[in-house]
Amino acid sequence: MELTLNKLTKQYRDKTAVDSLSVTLTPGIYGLLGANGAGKTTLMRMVCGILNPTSGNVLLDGKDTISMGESYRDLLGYLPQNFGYYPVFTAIDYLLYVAALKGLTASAAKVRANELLELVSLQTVSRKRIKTFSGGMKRRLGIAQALLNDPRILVLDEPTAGLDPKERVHFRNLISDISKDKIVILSTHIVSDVEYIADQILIMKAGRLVHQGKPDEITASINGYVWECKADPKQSEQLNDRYIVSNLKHEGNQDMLRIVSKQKPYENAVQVEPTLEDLYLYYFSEQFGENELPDKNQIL
Amino acid sequence: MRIMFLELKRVIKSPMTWISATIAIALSVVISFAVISYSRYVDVDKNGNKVLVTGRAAIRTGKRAMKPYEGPLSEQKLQQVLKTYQTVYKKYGKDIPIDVYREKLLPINSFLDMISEVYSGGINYFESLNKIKPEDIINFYKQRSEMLKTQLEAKYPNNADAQKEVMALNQKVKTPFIFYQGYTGDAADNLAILISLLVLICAVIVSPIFSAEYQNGSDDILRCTKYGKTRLAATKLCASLFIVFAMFTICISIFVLIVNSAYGWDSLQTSAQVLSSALSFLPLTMSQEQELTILAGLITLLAVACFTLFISAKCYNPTTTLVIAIAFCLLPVILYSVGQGNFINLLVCLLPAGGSGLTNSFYFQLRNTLFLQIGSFSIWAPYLMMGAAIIEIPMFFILSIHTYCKHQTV
Repeated sequence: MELTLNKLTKQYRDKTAVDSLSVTLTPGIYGLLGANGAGKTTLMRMVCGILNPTSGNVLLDGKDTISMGESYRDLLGYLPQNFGYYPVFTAIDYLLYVAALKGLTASAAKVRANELLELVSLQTVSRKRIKTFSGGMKRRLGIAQALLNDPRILVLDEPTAGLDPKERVHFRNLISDISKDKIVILSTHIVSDVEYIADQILIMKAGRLVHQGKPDEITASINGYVWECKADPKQSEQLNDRYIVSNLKHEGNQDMLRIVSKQKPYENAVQVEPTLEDLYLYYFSEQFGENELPDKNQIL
Repeated sequence: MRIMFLELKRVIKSPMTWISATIAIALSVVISFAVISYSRYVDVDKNGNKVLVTGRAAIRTGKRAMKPYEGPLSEQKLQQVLKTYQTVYKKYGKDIPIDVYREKLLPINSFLDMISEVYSGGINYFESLNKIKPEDIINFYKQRSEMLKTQLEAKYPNNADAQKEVMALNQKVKTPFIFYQGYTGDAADNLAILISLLVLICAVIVSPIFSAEYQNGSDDILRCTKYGKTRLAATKLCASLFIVFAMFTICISIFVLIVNSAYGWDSLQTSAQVLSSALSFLPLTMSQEQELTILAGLITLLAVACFTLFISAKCYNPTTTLVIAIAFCLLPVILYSVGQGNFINLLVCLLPAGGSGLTNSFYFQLRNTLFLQIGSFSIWAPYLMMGAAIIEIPMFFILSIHTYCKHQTV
């Protein structure tokens, strides 16, 4: 199975949300990273067919997904960033409704809905109205509906928003379990959601795909750019103003800083192994242009 | 079918639907009992004082008083009516004692109206009734057709087609007219008002069907499902139409059962001409007119529902949809009240809600000889209203599906 995004572009009046993006996806988990406004949601909507591209197309095994119609949608599972639901429905009502639209038979729908409610720990509240749910519970219900038809292509837009750490771990494990032979596209701001489970990371910036690769490969691209150092609070403040600081921890009367910089930022700074979060900050710091680090090489 | 059932369940569970349907049923009951309670009959007590009887008592009193006149209104019967009037008028002039009025004239007032209308077009009522000779009444039904023809010629001097069409319908009117006391013109008017209110309520029920989903984003997930486009759109439309159809059926049934039972089912055999205008050219009894009004009301309701669903599929929020839908429901009434002329009347008839409202509605136009010009072609207003509505139902149904499927998430 191969999902090809072929020069996908979405142009609005005053903005290009997705700019001639091309990528081919095969079964695996793809973490889509990008700042707010990078175009991730627009891209996902075009993949799901609920937003028409201005130009370009989405092909599944060479066939245009728009012309495939129902047969493409039969393979899809989608959780949007803002999960809209019917407030008067109970959780089980909602899943049965969506299951019917996904083409499951009545008996299969019942079994599958109950299975998924158990999986996302909503079994005990299955007969309660969705409007009484907390944000996290709604999110879990959203994940459940996306999995109803055991989709071959799973598109999840910020799936862990509102989930506590335990729930996020549970979700990560769930995705890992079900992702065999599936294309899973998972967009998030929470780097740890994808760091350990994604086969490939796609980094989007200003509507373009700026980097693609395995997590360890792409973090290797900033090998030598990540430093740790100790500084007094006054110096720490200055370093914070000048450099990308991915972590700052107060230790007694000193601060421990983790800095992303091409040059050594401080005399006692030591190089450390970069993480995906460092890479994210490297790409998305507002201070810098595309892939650039500050020109200030002054070592304090 | 399962999706249809689930969608019905979803719409029925919505508070908007429940509240609207409850209001509709309450209105039906209130209007039904209001019609009965507003029935009036002037009675005279033992001391000869005027007593106004209302409600069911008025209906019973009226039935008793009118019993001798029930059945076919032959020319001979009408002759006797005129003679009675002329005798009373000759004796008392305009100062008729209340007991004499109640006994002799009250029961025959509606027949006197008919005679005046047929012989003088309804003008100079007292004068005309005193001038007409009882022996002339023997040609009452022939004179009726002549008066209708004269009025048509005056109204449409250059429209031979309109005249021909009306007279062709008039040919089918059964004479002598049939009369049974009971069902009133007020009851028929209120049925038309109830239908207009139900049309408004149906617009309220269906306005959020698509636009509420756009607003809360729930359509994003649904559109990505196998049956989430054309099939879902069609199901939503069918479910909505079924609900408004059911609401209409229940509400009208309530009205018909309460009102017809109160007035007597036999009273619906009365010729339409007796309760509206003697010159009415529709070959209908009150029962048939009631059925036609209900059918036309249903067709209008479905046209308005389909139109509102189309607007809902277009708009991004249900409030906008509701405002537009209600505006279009009221537009025929407003246009008809403030505007004049062929173009305005055409527009009124072509609008989805054209068949409902007040004097513009199908029910009122049944009694009217309003013909509309489309090029060299003349068409009677009720035909145009229903023709437009029947076309608008599938047209807006298909447009709604198309619009929903083409909708893009903002």
